[in-house]
Amino acid sequence: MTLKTVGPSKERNTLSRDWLSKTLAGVAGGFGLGIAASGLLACLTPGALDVQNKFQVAMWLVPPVWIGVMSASFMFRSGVRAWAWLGGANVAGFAMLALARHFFTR
Amino acid sequence: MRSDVIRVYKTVHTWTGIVAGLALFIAFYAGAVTMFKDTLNEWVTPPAAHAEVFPLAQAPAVIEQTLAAHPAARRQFTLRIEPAGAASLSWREPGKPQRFAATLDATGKLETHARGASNAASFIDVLHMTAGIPGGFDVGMGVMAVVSLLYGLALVSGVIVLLPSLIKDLFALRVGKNLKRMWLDAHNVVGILSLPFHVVMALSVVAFGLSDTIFSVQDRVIYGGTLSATVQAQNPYYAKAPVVPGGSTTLASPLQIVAAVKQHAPEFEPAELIYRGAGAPGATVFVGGDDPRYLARSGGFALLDPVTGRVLNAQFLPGAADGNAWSAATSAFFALHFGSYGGEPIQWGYFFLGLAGAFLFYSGNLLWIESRRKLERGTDAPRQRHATYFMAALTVGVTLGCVAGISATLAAGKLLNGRVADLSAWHARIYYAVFLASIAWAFVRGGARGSVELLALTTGVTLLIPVASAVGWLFPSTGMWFEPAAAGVDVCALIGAGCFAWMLRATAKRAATGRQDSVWGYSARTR
Repeated sequence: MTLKTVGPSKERNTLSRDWLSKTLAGVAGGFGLGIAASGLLACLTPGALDVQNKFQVAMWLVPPVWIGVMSASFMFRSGVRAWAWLGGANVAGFAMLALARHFFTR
Repeated sequence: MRSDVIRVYKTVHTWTGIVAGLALFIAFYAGAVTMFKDTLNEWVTPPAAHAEVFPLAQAPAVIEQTLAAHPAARRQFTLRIEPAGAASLSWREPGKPQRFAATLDATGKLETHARGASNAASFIDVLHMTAGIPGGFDVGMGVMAVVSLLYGLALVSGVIVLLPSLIKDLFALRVGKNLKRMWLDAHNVVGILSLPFHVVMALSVVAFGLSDTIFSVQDRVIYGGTLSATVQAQNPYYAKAPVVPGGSTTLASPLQIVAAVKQHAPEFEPAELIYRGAGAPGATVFVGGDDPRYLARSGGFALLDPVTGRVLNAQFLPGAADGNAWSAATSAFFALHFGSYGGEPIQWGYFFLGLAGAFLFYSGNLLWIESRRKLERGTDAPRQRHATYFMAALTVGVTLGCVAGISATLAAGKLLNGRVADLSAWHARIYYAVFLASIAWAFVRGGARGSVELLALTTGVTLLIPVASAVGWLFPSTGMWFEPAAAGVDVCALIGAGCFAWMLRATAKRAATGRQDSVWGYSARTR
């Protein structure tokens, strides 16, 4: 009986903590990933960067990615992990964007 | 789903909701009302202004004489296409609050009229966009974008919290003794069934309010500093027509402009032509209108050269071949926010979805308060927590203050017409006076008494709307009037007042005879 209750309560403690750190990681990391995603959309879709209203759709892609990542940031077990994972994802995202800009931008 | 995940998102839902809820209530209630902006404008426009029209065929003569006599109109004037082949022309003089309109008298001489018509509908629209947050339009939009980020979080977390019991709870509205259960069921069913609408609103408001910030970051990391040139080259509102040295600056007839637009998009119905820089090289005319068959940005529009009738930018003209797939997607993002498609059924749909959204935020606050309720043990009603007294007073003060303020400022558009010099300043004064006084009243009287008394106020001022029309109909000597084309406003206000009266009765009954271990009972202290 006692063993059973230890598991969930321990888990509960792991998720419901580091609120500020996780939130800030989600806000900053989500915005960065949104920008990287919009850059990949702009560079990898057909047509030049200045094709009519492509910049609009690229801007509109940022809010859903941003809010999605912010929402997911509460699933990390700690604030440090949130910063590490989202930081890593941003590095990967912007590295891909740099490659895409270099090779695909017309 | 793991219970700890549910618990985390419940916390996220609670705190994002309580921070964003009241600003969103104002935005949604005012937004629902704004769906009928044109009808509200009709309602506050005195009958004299309806006479300031001329046959569309006369438009070239009216335009020519207006531009000659009134240099301010050269900067910008608006030609509206009115029903039955008529048109009206108006412009703004710098430093004057009212618009001026021009017509021709029987001898073909120019007559100008100062229009004192109220801008109540625009005021309510700005209230919708900024929630009335002081500091100017940009500050208000920026704050609402941040509020919308929280709103987006609240939507995701709310769905996650509800998911495990979705099938069980969705179609169960348990009306009964457990009031919290009933409010929660109502909150859930409204939230889930209008979720797509809310997702659209949350995402689009972040885009509207933070687009400049997003663009400036994107310019640096994606476009290498070329974005502003792209944006300027594609600007669908402003451009300069190509200047031919020694070319004519004589305007083509508005009928030719309409024909040029129709040639591009036969089903599009132009409604207004906004001329900029008329008479000078590089002038443009912005043609706005509607084609309800399309998800069009602001109903659809095009920019033309008013001299040659050549189309300069038609990327947002529905049914034209000028827009590409990106433009269509952009149009859809805007149209889905504004409900500028599908005509009247969609307008009404957005109206009710907006009201349902307002209910969602109001019920969310109620649930926050109920979750913190201390139950009765023994004979005395227990003292509730300070935070719940505070939240109860704030919730009824802000929500009812907003509703009453909008009714009052709209009614003033008719009641004060011709009686005050600067009606637009009065709209702001009246709204904020009612809104702030309601909040103060709710804090002085407490949530229980405050909600009953403020509902009485809301019912009363909402009744002023049809009363002003009725008085105008029966006694035109009062300077008021009844506008049959806007009778829907009177009918809706009457129904609204009926709903508020019903809420007033139910709230008063609950405060007097309901359980007293609550911030909503009459025996509750004010704080």
